Amino acid sequence: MTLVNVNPKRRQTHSVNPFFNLFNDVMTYSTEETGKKLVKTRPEVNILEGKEDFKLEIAAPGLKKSDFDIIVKKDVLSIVANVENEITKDVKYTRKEFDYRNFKRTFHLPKSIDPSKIEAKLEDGILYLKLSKKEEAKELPTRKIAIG
Amino acid sequence: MGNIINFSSSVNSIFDDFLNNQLVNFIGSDTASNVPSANVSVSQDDFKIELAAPGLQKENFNINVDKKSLTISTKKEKSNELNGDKFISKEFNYTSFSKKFQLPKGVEREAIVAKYECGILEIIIPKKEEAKELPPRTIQVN
Repeated sequence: MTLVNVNPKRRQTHSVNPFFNLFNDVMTYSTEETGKKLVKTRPEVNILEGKEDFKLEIAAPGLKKSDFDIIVKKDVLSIVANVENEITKDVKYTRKEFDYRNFKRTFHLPKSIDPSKIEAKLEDGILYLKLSKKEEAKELPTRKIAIG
Repeated sequence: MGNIINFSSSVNSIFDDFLNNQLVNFIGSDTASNVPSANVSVSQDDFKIELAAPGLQKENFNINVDKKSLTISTKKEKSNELNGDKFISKEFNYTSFSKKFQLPKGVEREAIVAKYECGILEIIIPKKEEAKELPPRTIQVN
């Protein structure tokens, strides 16, 4: 048995969009409440599908390459960031809306993906992941069969 | 000493919460965040605004300062060609937004500097000399 933390409200969301079930977000750290204001701690993710691959865009501004761990275990992809809190003296936050230094987002990979072909790059605060589809899952151009 | 207050904070927070917590749950992934989050901190010498706006170039930003406020806006040409890709889920899109901050009294408006790094726009607003908190001083009696 596995223990999976699923926010029922979010799961409902996904049922609206059938495609989303391909990459179901099984476990996330949600926004934590500090005082009355919500601080965003969970990076937003865009998912795109092309003919030959899926693309994930994870908005995690302020992080460096070395802050990320991208782990593929069986059909689960985890993106983890763990940055030690810097102690900054004499600085007081009067407004805090985001803090992406510690998070984990997990996705179920669809069967059509080749887990050995995943590429990642970090650019302007966005982590781009390219997940190639297996050869047999690629969309083939329409073909016309002639009657012999 | 006043704090930097987000002008549209009441409106924004309604929108933010509404979009992030409710609408998304109802409609799904079609509603994406498009107003970046901001952190504001204050130290002895200056105020600092950090705006989480990943995926842009420094040329995309417009920062305007008037008497009482500072406005950050962006306009990015749709250069991201989709090349036949379809969005399965869209949670963010920071290509076009405007966010306004009220400036406190006692800041050097002429000395405001900004930089864009790792998807964060950092704006430093120095305090005027007379507005800085001075360390406690002891006066000796002669």
